[in-house]
Amino acid sequence: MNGPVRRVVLVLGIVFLILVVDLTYWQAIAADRLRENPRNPRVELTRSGQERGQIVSADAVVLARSVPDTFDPGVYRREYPYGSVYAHVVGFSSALFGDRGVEAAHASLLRSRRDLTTSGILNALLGDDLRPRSIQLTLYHELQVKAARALGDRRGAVVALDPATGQVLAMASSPSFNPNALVGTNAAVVWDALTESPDGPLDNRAIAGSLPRLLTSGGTITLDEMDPHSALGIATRVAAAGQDGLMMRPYVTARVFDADSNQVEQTDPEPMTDTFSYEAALSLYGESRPLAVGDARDGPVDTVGNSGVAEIGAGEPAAWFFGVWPATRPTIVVAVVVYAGEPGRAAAASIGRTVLEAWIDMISRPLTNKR
Amino acid sequence: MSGSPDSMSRTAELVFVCGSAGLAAFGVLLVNLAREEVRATPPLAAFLVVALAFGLLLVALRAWAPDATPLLIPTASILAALGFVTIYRLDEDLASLHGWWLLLSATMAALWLYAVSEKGLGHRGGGWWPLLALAAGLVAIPSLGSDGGTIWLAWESGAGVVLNPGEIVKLVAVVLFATLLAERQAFFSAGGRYTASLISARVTTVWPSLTLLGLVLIGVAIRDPGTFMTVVGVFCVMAYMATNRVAYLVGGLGAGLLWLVAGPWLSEDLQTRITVWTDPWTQPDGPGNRLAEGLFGLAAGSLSGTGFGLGDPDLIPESTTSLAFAAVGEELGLAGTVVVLAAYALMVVTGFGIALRAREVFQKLLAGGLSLLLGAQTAMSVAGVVGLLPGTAMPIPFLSYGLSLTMVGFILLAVLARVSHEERV
Repeated sequence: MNGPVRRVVLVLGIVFLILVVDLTYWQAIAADRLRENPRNPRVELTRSGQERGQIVSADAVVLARSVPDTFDPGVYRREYPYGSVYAHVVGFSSALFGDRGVEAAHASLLRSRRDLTTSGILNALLGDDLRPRSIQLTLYHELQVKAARALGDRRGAVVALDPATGQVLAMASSPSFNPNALVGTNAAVVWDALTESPDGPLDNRAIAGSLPRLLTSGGTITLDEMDPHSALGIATRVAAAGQDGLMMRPYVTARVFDADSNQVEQTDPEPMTDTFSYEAALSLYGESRPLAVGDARDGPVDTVGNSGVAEIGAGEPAAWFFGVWPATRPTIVVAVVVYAGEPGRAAAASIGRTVLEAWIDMISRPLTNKR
Repeated sequence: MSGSPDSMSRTAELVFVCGSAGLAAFGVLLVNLAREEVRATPPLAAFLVVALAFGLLLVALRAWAPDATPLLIPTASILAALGFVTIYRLDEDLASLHGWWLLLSATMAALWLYAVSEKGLGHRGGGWWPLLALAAGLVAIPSLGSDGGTIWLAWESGAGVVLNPGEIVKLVAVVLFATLLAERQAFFSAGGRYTASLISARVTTVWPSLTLLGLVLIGVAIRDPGTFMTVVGVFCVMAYMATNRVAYLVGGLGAGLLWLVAGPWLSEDLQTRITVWTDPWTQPDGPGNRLAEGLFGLAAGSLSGTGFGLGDPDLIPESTTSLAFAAVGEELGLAGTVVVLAAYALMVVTGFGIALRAREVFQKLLAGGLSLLLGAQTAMSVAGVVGLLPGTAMPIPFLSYGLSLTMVGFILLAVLARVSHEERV
């Protein structure tokens, strides 16, 4: 009778060994992958209090930074110096409500990888740089501030695009919100108010839906995904129509820097797979006319553009405007959408003019802020 | 493991148990420190609970089973200490209840040792096993009507006073099987040719108990597939141990596979569990998807764990019961889980060692069956956590919260110790 008992012990021993092997797999080999899994609730929790990299504008203005706590230098608080101006592009990183915008799309770069995971320990031993990285956007602070201010509290959006590269030079959406309120005390109350507001301040009206892939370098985005009457949709199509139908993929992250300010990555302009012809643009947006655009009649020299009214998404009548400068080989395409129907046309044109003027003023200045 | 343990090893046991009590106190202290609060009472209470419960068991052993092996109690005390800290870390109120369950269970184990000290275990179960089976049935049957997936019977509603009849059914089943197999070894070895003689024999004890157990099992099979599988599996392996006939193992495996195929038609809950098991990553969150949450916990622990009180095991569902192992894995890491598994392996091997040396067939089967139960339940619980078995939702002995589980664990220790004592007298 002892023979079978011994064999049972042997089998149980093998079972325990299998369990140890499987535990080793989950706790050592697959652990890093599981820790990054977006469904893992710990991803949110470990984020709070960690140092994250900076997000800066194309003209080197800090848009998001981590500030050490006065009482506990190991704990960091995220700070957005320009608040609602960049709320939709930069987004926010909240322990409670997750990440949005660039903070979400490039979370793995912005986060510190110094931790006690297997790869964390191994990489530290191998001398890898595990400090959080910084991201430089394509947006110009000067232009962005003017665009956001011109938009004011009208419901709508502004996008400024470099047609040759697809770089987004400015992107504002209104109504906006203050991301600092979502990382501080009382954040839950603010969040509830934002999510329940009928105006949808968390929505980026410039983009409508395609944000994550737009923000991630290498992400593919197609024409169909951009509403022809969203600000970005207009700007991209108009830009394409001006260069024989070639559409450049719009992007907002220009460069990635390590903690010693060495550039480690750069986003290269890349054409999209679809094209958009001049004729198609004509039928959608009409003929562009020099300076003869609503209130922009006395706009800057050599500007062409047009405005109109269209229904966006759920049938809301919206006034749109686009402006291009200069008329030949443009360096900027501005698109504005104001959710106010026909009466909004003048406002849209005025906002567009402001942004165009700001751009012309900016690049005609000697060197200082040149790209 | 050979040779009669003298008073020296009994003293060594006491030192070990005090060490475990110290571990519990230290763990609770760390949990409190992680919360930035310093209180003297919780660590002291943790020390007292572990020291008193296992100290009581040691006193009972010295009195009524002095020659028992000294390997079992210290190992169990380490696991119970880790379990207590884990439960405390997750739910302080539950931990204070669990403390009482530890003391109550130790008292019951001591009483049992006293009860058998007079006549000994003997060569068969004796006439009072049917009573045990009846008790298990009474506990199990009312809970069968409860909602699917949870078979826990709440006594004194709320307050977390719960009794899981499945645990008691498993213990009673092992004892009954040992009795039956010891009495009818010839029948089972011959593969059923002596049916007539079996039917005529001992109509008064074994068969009524088995019938009752069978009825309970049919209900349990639908409500609590884990317990059903364990009992069927334990019977098959015990029959194999008693008869050396491989057919029992083949039959057991076949029944298990059949259950896996047929189960989803009988129970929607089981269906959910199997769906989750095949692909935990795309299944929606919720009570059905314990697998992914448990694995997230284990992964968070990585190699060395986050440390007591520093992880987030409260994000794991059922972390005080069926996923307690994942909670331990999160805060103690791979180092902790491997040590815990080694501790179980030591207890199981010690138990089988007792079975090998036992003189009576009944005692051999009893010790072998209980060791098997301990090993199988541990393995099934861990396998459920890491996804090797479809969500068995089985608590792990000594680590998980629960009155019935703790009680069964202590009785198991006492029975193994008594068998070990009797083979050395």
